[in-house]
Parts: sequence; C-alpha cells; structure tokens
Amino acid sequence: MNLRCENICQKIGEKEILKDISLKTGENKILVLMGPNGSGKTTLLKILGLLNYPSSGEIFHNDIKVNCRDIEARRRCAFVFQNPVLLDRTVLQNIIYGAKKRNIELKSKKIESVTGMLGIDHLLKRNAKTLSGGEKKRVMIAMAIMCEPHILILDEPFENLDLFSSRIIEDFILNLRDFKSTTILMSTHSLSQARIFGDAILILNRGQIVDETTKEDISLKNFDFLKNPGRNIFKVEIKKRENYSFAILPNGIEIPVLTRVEGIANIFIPPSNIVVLAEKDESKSGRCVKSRIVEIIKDDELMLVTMDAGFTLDTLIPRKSFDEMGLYPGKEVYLKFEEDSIEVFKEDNFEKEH
Amino acid sequence: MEIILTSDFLSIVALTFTVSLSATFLAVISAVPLSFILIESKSKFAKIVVVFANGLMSVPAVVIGLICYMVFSGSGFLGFLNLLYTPYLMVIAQFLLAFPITLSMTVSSMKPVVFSVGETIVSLGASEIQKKISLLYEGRRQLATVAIVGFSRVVGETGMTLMVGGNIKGQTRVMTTTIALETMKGNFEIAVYLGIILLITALLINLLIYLLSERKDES
Repeated sequence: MNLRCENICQKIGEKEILKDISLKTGENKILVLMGPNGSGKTTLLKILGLLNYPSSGEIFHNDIKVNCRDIEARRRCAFVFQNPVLLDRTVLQNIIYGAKKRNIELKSKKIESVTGMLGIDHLLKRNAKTLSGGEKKRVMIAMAIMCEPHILILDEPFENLDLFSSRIIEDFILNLRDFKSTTILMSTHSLSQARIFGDAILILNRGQIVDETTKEDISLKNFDFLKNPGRNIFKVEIKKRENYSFAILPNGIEIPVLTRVEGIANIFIPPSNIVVLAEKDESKSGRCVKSRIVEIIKDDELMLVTMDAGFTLDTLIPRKSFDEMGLYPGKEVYLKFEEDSIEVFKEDNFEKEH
Repeated sequence: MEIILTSDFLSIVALTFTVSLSATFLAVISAVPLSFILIESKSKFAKIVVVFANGLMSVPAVVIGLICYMVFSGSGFLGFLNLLYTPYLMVIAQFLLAFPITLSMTVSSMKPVVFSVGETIVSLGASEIQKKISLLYEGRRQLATVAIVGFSRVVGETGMTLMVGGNIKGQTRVMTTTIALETMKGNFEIAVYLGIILLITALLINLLIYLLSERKDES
C-alpha cells in the first residue's frame, strides 16, 4: 500500500509546526524522516498515522482520501511511539489487544513467532507497566505487528535502546518490509540507521522538507542546514569492553557508542543530539562531560552554541531551554552524550564520503 | 449484644448502605461520561465546569439539605412529587453531595490515563466506544478510589440526611441519625454499636484506598 500526503500544514496557536508537506511512500518500502529535535517529525508521523488532524492538507491510502474518522483507514496503520505507554495488563493481553479490536484471528503460533523474534516470549505473563524501556518498545512493536498493518509507523524506534534491543528491532523491521509487504515510515536521528533502512529519506527542518535522498546517497552534506556540522567530527579510538563500545574523545574522556566498528574511526556528534544540562546528570545512561560555553554562533529559535569540553564542539539548544537555564558565554554546563546519538564511521568509509 | 440482631437495628444498617451506595453509584455513573467530555474538550467552558465542580466540593452538606427541603417540601417547586421524608430524597440529596467530588476526582485522576494510554488505544485501531471502554478498564483503580471517597463522604452525613429524611423509624432512619437521636435520649448502647459499624466502615474504606494506591504504585 502506498501512503501519500499533500500540502499538510499544522498550526498550534500562531506557531506553524508543519509547513506545506507533501510526500509519497513507495509500496512496501521504508521512508525515513530525519531532522533535529523540534523539526516536526513526530507531529507529521502522527498525522500520517491518522492519530491527529492536520490544520490543512490531505492524506491518501492508495490514492483514496482518508482521515482520522475513517476507522477502516486507521486500522490499516499501526504506530509505535517514541516513548510507548502500554496498557495496565499483562504483556500477552497488550499484544493481542489491537488484533482483537480489528477482528483479526489470533493464532498462538503467530504470537509465539513474533514474541520469539522480538525476544519478549518470556515476558508474556508480566504486567506491561513493570517492563524496562527497551522491553516496552519491543512489546509495542509486537502489538503493532499483531495488528497486521499495511502501514507501520515507527517514531524513533531505536531511541534509548541498548545494542541488543536495537539489533533485534533492526532485523525485525527489514524482515517486515521484505517478507510481510508492509510500508514503513520511521523517524530517526541516526545516519547509520538511515543508511540501513532509507529506501527514501526526507530531511525535515522547522516543519519543512529541506532535502530528499536515499540510503545510498545520504551524507553529512544533507545536514548542511545545521550550520557547519563538520565541527563535531572527531577522529577517535573505539574500544570494546564486555559487550559495550566506547569512543575515546580528544580530551581522553570515554563515551559509549553503538557500533560494531573497532580501532581508529571517525565519529560525528550531531549538534542537535547533545543534551545541555545545567547540572550533572547522574543517571546510568549516556555520559556527562563538564563543559563551558565559548560562543553563541546563531541566536535564533534553535541556538547554535560552541562549547569547550577540552575540545571544541557545537550544540543546538532550543531558545526556551537556553533562557530557562540562564546560559551565557563563559558559563559552565554539562553535555550529555547518549550512545545511540553518535554516528561512527570507519575511517576509510568516511574519507570516501568527504 | 442481642440488640444488633433485632430487625430494627438491621433495617437501619441496611437502609444506610442502600441509600449511600445508591447515591454513590448514581454519582459515579453520571460523573464518568461527563468527565470524558470535560477531559477531551478544548473549550473554555469545560474548564469553567471543572473549576465550578471543585468549588462545589466545599459546599456544606446542610446547605444541600436546605435546598432539597425547600425544593421538595409541599410548597416547593417539586413538592408535588411527595419525596420529602422518603429514602428517595435522601438518595437525591446524597447524590448532590457526592457528585461534585466524584466529578472533580474523576477528571483529575482520569486525565493522565486518557492522555497517555488513549493515544496507544487509538493507534491500535479501537473505535470511539472501544476506546472509552478500554479507558474505563485502564482507570479502574482510579475510579474505584473515586467511588470509595464519594461513598465515605455521604455515608457519614447526619444533618442533611435528617433534614430531608426526617429520621422516621422504619422508613428513613439511618445509622448517623439514629446515633444522634439515641445519644440525646441517653440510650448509648445502640449508639455505640452503630458507631462501631460506622468506624469499621471508615477503616475498611481507608484500607481499600490504601490497597488500591499501593497496587497503582506497583504497576
């Protein structure tokens, strides 16, 4: 099934979240949406998944106009949220919920196969509210798959997942496209995931499509609108310890990365993926690095700020957060790097691209 | 001790629970659909209704009793219904007392449920009716807490129940009005037994609320 939208606009109050978006997915292909935080990816996906009405614009399934009230059209789609909220019942009851509502015949073999592939077959009797973030995401994917959707929408499916869960979901998505004839839309921050999945890749910025490419052609040049992203590219050494990989930054600090690469490599830290905090975050995930604001390069709704963390790098901070934290040049802050937000390139591949 | 096995005593206890449970049931079943409308509505009017309901929570019960008395007395607007000094008017008065609490609590406790799980339910292809039923199930512990709080508010009410029920033996006499009457008569034995039953009811209600909130935290 192909999904098409024309001239989608979304306004909240006076603010334009999406501006005149038109796109079309290929049948049984994966369309990847990329862009910085706040670019409108989730808003667009929810509109395309018929969960929210757009302020204006039209959506078509196989050239037939559909909307949120059209229950049959809604039942052709399934949505996996960035932060899934599961139902307050057992995992098994969650998994079969959508299928029951859609009157899909439930076969125990199918449940076993889907939950087995996603590695959640041992959780079926647990209350879904007690699961970890990665487990919840895998359960949400199973819930969506059991609905046998023609269109599957995944909002940052790899966000906050460990390497094990990421790999399982990666294989599962590719399997769905190739063997279940499902059209897939997904958003991601990760260039390497866009390279795996992006039969077509759209890059969003400030609610507009600013570039269009494919997995074969995508490179950092597609993100030039983020202003000189090359400054956040570093040559590092990747070390593996137990099952985790670490990149050693120019100042000697180790940060976790999700990669199969070892040895000397290049990493790109997208400015929009660096979390700027006023105080140190002691939580387990990611790594916090003490830093100092050097310069405000671009004073806009998304502020481009240069930091000194023992090496120089750029960050993008929403103006609201910048004002709330009372930031100014010279102020000390903490930068948080999540392992799934850092792109790793083998040195030779990287040279070819640039 | 034999006093609690007399038919008079048992009918007082039975009427108390019948009236209060009926009023609570009516309050909850009318508050739930209205709460869904208020939660999902984006209009300012919905917010005003919620603020108004919050305000009504603090209205003294005797004022509700007074209004009911004036409306349903012989010369009142609905006097022709002949409901004054009947259990029916006691249910109506207790309903009016419980409704603002149940509405306000349902809105505040179901709002997070509707906004968090509601989107998941819709994304899985539920129709509007299926969504509402699933939300009721998802908010079952919150709704049980609301019902328990509503019941505890009305079951211990004395002044209002006395005004609209009249404390007629065998017809509208409930535990609280009996305790007041028997205490004034110096007949403490029956008052103490009824007091113990009310106390046990209050303790059980609190235990139930505690257990429900514990389960909510676990999940």
